[in-house]
Amino acid sequence: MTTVVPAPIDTDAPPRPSRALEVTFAVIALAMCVAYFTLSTQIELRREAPPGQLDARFWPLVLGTIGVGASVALLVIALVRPPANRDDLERIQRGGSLRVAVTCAVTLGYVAIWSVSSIVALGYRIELFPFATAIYMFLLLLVYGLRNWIGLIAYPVAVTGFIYVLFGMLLRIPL
Amino acid sequence: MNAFADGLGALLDVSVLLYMLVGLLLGFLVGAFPGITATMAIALAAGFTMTLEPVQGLAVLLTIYVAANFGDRVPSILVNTPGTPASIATTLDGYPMAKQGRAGLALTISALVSAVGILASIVLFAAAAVPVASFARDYFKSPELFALVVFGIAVMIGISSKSMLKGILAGVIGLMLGTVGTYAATADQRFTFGILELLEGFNFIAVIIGLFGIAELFDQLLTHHQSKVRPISSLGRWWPNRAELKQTRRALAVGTGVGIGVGLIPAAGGDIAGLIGWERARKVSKHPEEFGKGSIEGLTASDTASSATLGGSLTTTMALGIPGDSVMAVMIGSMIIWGITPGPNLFVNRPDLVVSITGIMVIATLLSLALSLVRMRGMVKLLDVPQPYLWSGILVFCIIGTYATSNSLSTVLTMLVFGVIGVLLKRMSVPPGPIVLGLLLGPLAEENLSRTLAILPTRPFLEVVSPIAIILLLLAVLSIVMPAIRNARKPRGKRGALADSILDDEIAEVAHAREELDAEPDADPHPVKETEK
Repeated sequence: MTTVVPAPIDTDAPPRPSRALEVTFAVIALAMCVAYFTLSTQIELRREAPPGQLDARFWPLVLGTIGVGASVALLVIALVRPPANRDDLERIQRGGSLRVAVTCAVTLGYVAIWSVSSIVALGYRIELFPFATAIYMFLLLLVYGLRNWIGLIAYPVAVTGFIYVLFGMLLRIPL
Repeated sequence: MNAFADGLGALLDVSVLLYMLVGLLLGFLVGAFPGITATMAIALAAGFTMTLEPVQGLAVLLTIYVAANFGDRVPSILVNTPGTPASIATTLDGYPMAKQGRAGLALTISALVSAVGILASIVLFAAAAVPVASFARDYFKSPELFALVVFGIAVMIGISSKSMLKGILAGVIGLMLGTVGTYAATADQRFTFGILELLEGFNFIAVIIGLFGIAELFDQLLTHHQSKVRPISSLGRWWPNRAELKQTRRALAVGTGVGIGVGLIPAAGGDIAGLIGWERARKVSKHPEEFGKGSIEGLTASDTASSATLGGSLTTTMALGIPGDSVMAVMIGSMIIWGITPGPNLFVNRPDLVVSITGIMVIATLLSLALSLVRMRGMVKLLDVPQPYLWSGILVFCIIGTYATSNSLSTVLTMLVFGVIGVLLKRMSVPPGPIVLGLLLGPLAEENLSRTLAILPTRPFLEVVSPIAIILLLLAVLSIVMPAIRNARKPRGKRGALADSILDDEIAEVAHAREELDAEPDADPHPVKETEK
């Protein structure tokens, strides 16, 4: 029985050109530009534009037309020409997409908790922002691979304190 | 005289100096950490400076702009990684010098010539800003202003895009985003879908922090891999001797000229100037064969040129309202929030601002130079800061900074959405610059096109549309067509944005010089050679 050894992945190599990706992008761009153009034709005009002015639909229709034209050209090029190289980009690493997805999820959770503003517990009004921020940073550090317990606790506490003093107390922004 | 006294007087407030020190620290840090660009830092700081007076806010943002221009040379020289795109050309000779045990000398020369480049360009700003603004105010009516906006966006597309079609699409997307909200002429609502927050359009700061800050961060999260790269730690001698200083003269002159010229072109920044400066200096050098192998001339030319763009960039931004580079696009957004609209009327109405801005730039340059000459050893340690601290810190400050612009969490969501859109566009090689410029200048373009089209039927064409407008529109077309033709002539694998193609002819020689250098025994005990995948 022979063992197939997979070829090592060169993490420094740029991503490979992809026709599928280029076509998908062009199709999405075309769909969005068509939607924009269609919505432009439906802009509700409450009154005629005053003399020396154009109505609210004119400029969006111009842009929609240019956008559709550019997207169609992009789609045609994506279909008939070889896909462009992607040397200017770095390859997506294993776990990279997960890091981004978890970051987005944790951030949405943080914003949701922050929006509650404060809770009343045991007769005291407790502002959630400092606790939410410290926990948020702790989770981010954990997701990004930090395993140093001092860093995981001290850094979020220090940054949260700095933000609270600077924004909440000095700049008087209602956090 | 009053304007001069008022402008200087505004700087005498001690708070301005304190804000400059904050900007200095921030600028150096963002410059020194690869991956954090000056645009990202200014976008972030925009949230912090909302509540400040205009001069105080300008002190923070302009000092970050200047200081980042010094800080970004450190990783270029010590790790062969540009701190910001403006220091790409610094790696060509700075890193070889470091490998030869002359890192200290490279850092000192880089700081000195960067200061000379910035100061020379500030002279241009001080001398040209008011005349350019006055000229624009006298001769730029609606058709010319529309043509100027089209020209600005076209140049940004031509310079930043690998694919012209994607660049055009980016510009159109930006202009489309600019149509969201209430149409000023008739108060009709466009694309608001009944959402109250969209009545005034997208929050500009949230969009730019999303596109430049969050998108860049997400890209790093996607592509980061463990690396054992260590900065070169043997810095060697620091001060150049007389002969070495003499070597810099010619390159200094070439770099300054190139930098000032490139800086005046809207949307062209330090990265392009640095590469052109290096290439020009090589052509006129008596020792072109040393370029790419640790040449003091090469380092001088690239760093002077990229630094000398600052004044030109500031001139087009403040006097014409067309951002000189992406940093300035963000700066315009902040200035509008402070109630200052950059453009032909700015310096006519507030000539004191020229003096204040010049003063801030000069002081920021001198402070940055001083800090550059004393802090180098400490900066080396900064390069070892673990990424998780950086990423989490950037993210939380992006969120708080964006929230501070409107005290509304919906703005944070806007930022996050544009961050995701931004990273997707980045992965498709769609540049964010034209989007931001389109969003920023779209309403101005629409307003002036509308006026022009209204006047056109009533008067002869050439009476309405002046030669200036026609020339600007022609230049706009050329800005897109010429790079497209240049790209079309190249093999498909070698096509790229302008900055990628400046050294096309030299790249093989530079690569060969690097190979030779790598083959030589290292002067440094901790050379940067291996990267663990």
